[in-house]
Parts: sequence; C-alpha cells; structure tokens
Amino acid sequence: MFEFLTSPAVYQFIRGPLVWLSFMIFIGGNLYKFLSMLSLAKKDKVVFPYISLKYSLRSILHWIIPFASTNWRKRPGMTVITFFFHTCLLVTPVFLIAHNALIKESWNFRLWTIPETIADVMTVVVILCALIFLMRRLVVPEVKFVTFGTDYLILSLAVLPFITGFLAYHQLLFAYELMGTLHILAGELMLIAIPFTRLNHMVYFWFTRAYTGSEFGAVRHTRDY
Amino acid sequence: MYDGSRWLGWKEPPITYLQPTQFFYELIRDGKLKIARKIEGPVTVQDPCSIVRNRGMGEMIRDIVRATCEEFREVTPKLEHNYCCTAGSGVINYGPPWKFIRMEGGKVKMRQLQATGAKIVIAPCHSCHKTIEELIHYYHADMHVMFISELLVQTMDIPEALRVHGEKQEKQKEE
Amino acid sequence: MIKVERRPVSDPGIDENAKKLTPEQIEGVIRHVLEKESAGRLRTFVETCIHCGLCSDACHYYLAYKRDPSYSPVAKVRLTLWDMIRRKYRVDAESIKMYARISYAECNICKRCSMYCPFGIDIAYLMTVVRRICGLLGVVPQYLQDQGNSHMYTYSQSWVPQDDWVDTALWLEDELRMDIRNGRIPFDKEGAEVMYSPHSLEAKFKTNLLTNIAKIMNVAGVDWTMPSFDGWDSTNQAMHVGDYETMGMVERMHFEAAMRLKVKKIITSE
Ligand code: HEM
Ligand code: SF4
Ligand code: SF4
Repeated sequence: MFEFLTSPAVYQFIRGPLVWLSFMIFIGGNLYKFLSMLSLAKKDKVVFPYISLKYSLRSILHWIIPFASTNWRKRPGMTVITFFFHTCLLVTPVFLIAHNALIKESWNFRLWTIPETIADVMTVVVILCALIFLMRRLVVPEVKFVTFGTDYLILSLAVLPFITGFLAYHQLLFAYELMGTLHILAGELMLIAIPFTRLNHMVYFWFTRAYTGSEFGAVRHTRDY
Repeated sequence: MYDGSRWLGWKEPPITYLQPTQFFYELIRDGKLKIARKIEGPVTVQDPCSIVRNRGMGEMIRDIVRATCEEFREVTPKLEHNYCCTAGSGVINYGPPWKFIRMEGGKVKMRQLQATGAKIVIAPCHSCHKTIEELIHYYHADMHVMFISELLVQTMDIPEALRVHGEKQEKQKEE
Repeated sequence: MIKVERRPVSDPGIDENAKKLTPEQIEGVIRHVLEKESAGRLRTFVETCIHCGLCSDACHYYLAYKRDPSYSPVAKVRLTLWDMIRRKYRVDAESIKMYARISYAECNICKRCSMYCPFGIDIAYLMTVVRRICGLLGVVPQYLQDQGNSHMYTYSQSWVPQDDWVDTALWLEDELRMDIRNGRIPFDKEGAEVMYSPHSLEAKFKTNLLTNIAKIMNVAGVDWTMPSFDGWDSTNQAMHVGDYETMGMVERMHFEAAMRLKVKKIITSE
C-alpha cells in the first residue's frame, strides 16, 4: 500500500491531475446540486413566491453569528465548539502559507496568509472539536439515536485532511513525502465528497435558512431565531 | 389555513382573512368596544401556534388582556417561543384512545402555566382552550380557561340603548 | 425497523385499516408522495440535516417524556421518512402504523423545532408529508377520519348539516335578545363588511361562544353577516388527515361563500 502510494506514477497523479479533477468535481458537483435543488424547489410551487431577501438575510445573519439566535444562547458549549470548528475549518486551508505557495506557483497570485504557528493551532482546534463531535455521537442520547455510519464517515472526511496535514507538518508517523501525499489525498476526498454527502450543508444552509426565514418573517410575521 | 389557500394555488387568501384576535384588537384600539370593568386576579395567556407562531399576533393577545384584566402575568417561554398546547393539528380530535398523549405531553405546558401563579388562562383557540381545560383537571390545578370573546363579553360596556333591562326600566317609567 | 418504547394504543382507524394494506399499495403510495408530490423541500431537508440533535429541546413531547431521544423532532424524521427511504419504500403494515402514530399523535406540526434547528429544517412539514402517506393509505386515527368524512358529507366538521346550522343560529338569536335589545344574527347580508365563520362546535356544543360573538358584533356596531348555506364552517380537519383533496374543497367552499356574499373580510372563530 505504502509502496503503491510512494510510487512515482501514483505520486504524480495524486499531486497533479487528481487535484484538478477533485476541484472540478467539487465545483461541478455543487453547481449540479444547486441547480437541481432550484428546479425541484420550483416544482414545489410554494417556495419561490414567498422568498424575501430581507427576511432571508435576517435569518442567515442570526444563525451565522455566534449567540445571535435563541438556540445558540441556550447551548453555549455547542455554539463555541461549532463556531471554532467551522471557522478554523474554512480559514486554515484557504489562508495557509503552504497552500498559497502552491497557488502562486500555478496562477501567480497569493491571498493574505496566516502565520504557521496560528495555522497549527487552528488545525488542532479542528481536530479537537471533531473529537467532541465524535464523543457527542457516542454519548449524548438524542444524538446517538440519529447517528448512522455515514455520520462517522462525513466527520472523518472533514477532519482527515487536518490530521494528516498536522502529522506531515510535524513530520510525525510516516515520512514527510508519504504523509504529504496522504494529506493531499484526504483533501481531495473531502472536496469530492462535499457535493455528494451531507457535507453539502455548506451549500444548502443558505437556502434552507432563506426559505425558513422568509416563511417565518414574511408570511407568518414572526422570528425564526 | 395557509395550506388550504396554497393547495388551491393562491399565494395569499383571496379575501382578507382575519383571525378574531386581530379583529378584537382593532375593535378595542379603534374605540368601537369600550371596556367598562376589568377581570380580577392574576391572568396569563396561551400563545396558540396557529395565531402566534404562524401569524405573529402574540402582542395583540397581550394588549387585549392588559386592557381587560387587572393583572397580567407573562409566561416563559413566550410569544413565538411558547410551547404548543399538545392539541394542535387535530390531535385534540383523536378521541379517548389518544387523550393520554395530550395529558402526558402537556406536562410542559401545565408546569409553565402554573409557574405564573395565574388563576385564569386566556386561550384564543378552540384546541388550546379545550386541552388546557382538560390538563387543569388532570393535574388538579386551580385555574380556568377563557376565550378572548368571553373576556370581552364580561368586560365590555353595553350602551344603554342596547341594554335589555334598560328597556324594562323605561317601560316602568312610562307606566 | 427500529423498535421504540410506546404504550400500546388501540385505535381501529389505525389498527384495522392497516390490516387491509398490501405491499404494492404501500410502496406505490410512498413512491407517489415522495417522488411525485414532494420535491425540493423534502429532498433538501432530508439531505441537509446533519443529525446533530440540536432541535431536541424544542419539542414539548421530548421534554415531557423525560428527554426520551425517540421523541426528539429529528428522531421523528428518522423513524419515519429516513426509514422509508433507507428501505426503498418496501415497508410493512406495522411500520405504517408506527409512522401514523408518530406523525399524527406525536407531532403537533407546531414548527417550534424549525426555530431551533441551525438550518431551519421544517420538520413539521416533513411530518405532514408522512401524514399524507398515511392518509392516502387510510391509516388514520378513527375520530380524525370521522371528521374528515363529516366534511365530505355535511361540509362541516362535526356532522352539522346546513339546515341544523340555520336552525341553531335562529334560536341563538332569540337568546341573544335576552341580553341585547334588538340583537341580530344577520344571515346572507350581501356586501357586509365582515363575514363571521364559526367553528362547527359553535353550532353544536359550544353555542354560547357564537352568542358571545353576536353580542360583541352588536355592541361594537359591526356590519356583519354569516352564510346560511354551506361554507359557513371555518374548520378544516381534512388538512390534518392529509386528505388534501377534501381540504381544497372545504377551503374553496369557504371562500366562495364569502365571495357570494361580497364581504370585505372573513373573521374566523378563535
Ligand atoms: C460555510 C458553510 C458552512 C456552514 C454554514 C455550516 C454549518 C453547519 C451547521 C449549522 C452545523 C450543525 C451544528 C453542529 O453540529 O455543529 C454543521 C455541522 C457540521 N459541519 Fe458544517 N457548515 C459549513 C461548512 C462545512 C464544511 C466545509 C465542512 C467540512 C467539509 C463541514 C463539516 C461539518 C460537520 C462534519 C458537521 C457535523 C458535526 C457533527 O457531527 O455533529 N461544514 N455545519
Ligand atoms: S413541530 Fe412536531 S416535532 Fe417539532 S416541536 Fe412541534 S411537535 Fe415537536
Ligand atoms: S437541528 Fe436540524 S440539522 Fe440538527 S438534527 Fe435537528 S433537524 Fe437535523
């Protein structure tokens, strides 16, 4: 297995074409999901006539700001964890120095970057939060009751790039080269999985909130937060 | 109600469709109904899902209650965050086999109402009204439930011209 | 099928009707409802839910049953829709009975959970989809179905035919005059400001409520009326059964009554 992964051809493939392929699948898949959701929502008939920009934004804002909604306030622990998890999960990969070096190599531009030690801490945060999510699934009755294999799968898909990235950066477990390849593979798997698993809540979130926000705000004259 | 209109393809009901709470609220606000006396003792409210979470009329109920009762006690959680009475969406109508589910599920509602210490609960919905009355009986609470219309009939000022006993008095005078 | 702890309830509308189901019928109805009648909302809500359980505390059943996880809002979806979808719609009559119990009796479609889910997933809507399936299969609590039937036969919820309705309102008017001088319950007044639509029980067991309304209308000097013909009842239990065809009919009659009377607005009962 390891020999296979370190063989030059596979190594080249994972670090070359597969990167592009997974980005293409990520973007194309999300686009496909998005469009098919729109056309299905149109079939529903009672979605679009009621969508209101004002109330959609009101609803989204109250739920992406920590403690802005009643439920975020009622569960402070979970709120802190989930916001740390998601912020670090989104920020770390995009603004990592190493990733930006690659972007510069390919397209000759770079984004603003974060210092390596901070990125390191953020990676650990993601891993710890994921561990807490895992514990919840195993221990908290109401979460356990609705947990399936796929929940563990998507959780692993989401943290694996961080675990492997951390190990590679600190040159732990396996040789740097191999760990690096595993890291890239994990990242690619995550990107490919996003459109086709429940990780696509990243896209759907905005629309389910827009629907519910408009329904509560514009039709029912109440708040949904 | 919305589901019905939507099923028929109307975005909104084709004729202005008012919940009585709003209608009563407007009657009082516009001075068409004058309140002559106030109900004594602590009063609290139930926020029916159909008109509060689904129509945003929680404050109107409270305004009416404040106008017609001496002491209003707020519930927690309130308004759109209030609990359902456990009779919503037809559950009130499932008959004896299912009464237990309303009584057991209504424990949360009952505790919430009892915590206010109120003696009267204003429940402007047939389902809420009936089930809370049954809950009061089931949990041996010292309360009773009223509709807003009952509240208004007991407190409104009936103009002299419409009073029946006024008519009698007039007749007596004539004699 | 996952077993959950529940007190047995005997309701012929559910038990007896479930006995008559055939596997083809069940699969066909589920397929029809999930694939033909429902679309974007169903799929998006089912695919988005991250199974986090944050909606649990919203449900009064969950709180009242000592935080039993099987009463949490997401558990209701897990025990019904996810179950059907995972088993490719091939479920037995026992499952349908469980779906009926969960969607009809253990959810009040109150939408409180939508306010607590970070995605705003409308579990109440998902439960109405399950009710629709059970309703089409005829596995419905007997008393509720009886009211649905009443809507079909008498156009009122509680078997009050139109002639009874007129009769009741007429004697209520007599009673009204004991309290309000020259009090009126005006029928069929074209062009009135307001049409009052009572709850059908106001023409049956709770007539004092209609008298109260009449008193308020008379005292406040409202220009009001009620239809003497079908369409007077404002309730619609067919909606709760999941029988949308009857629901639509009831609804249309109701609005048509208002149109016929050319009123400006409808006031329903409390
Ligand atoms: C910007 C877009 C995103 C939004 C608004 C968002 C929002 C949410 C929310 C509201 C939850 C449920 C609350 C919780 O369990 O903490 C959640 C859970 C989760 N999210 Fe996201 N998310 C986003 C992007 C992502 C991405 C890109 C990933 C990973 C690839 C991800 C992975 C997860 C995981 C694994 C959970 C489940 C935690 C558990 O197992 O309980 N999210 N997300
Ligand atoms: S809509 Fe149903 S599941 Fe949601 S809180 Fe109300 S009763 Fe519970
Ligand atoms: S809170 Fe929303 S996403 Fe989480 S389990 Fe409940 S319905 Fe699913």
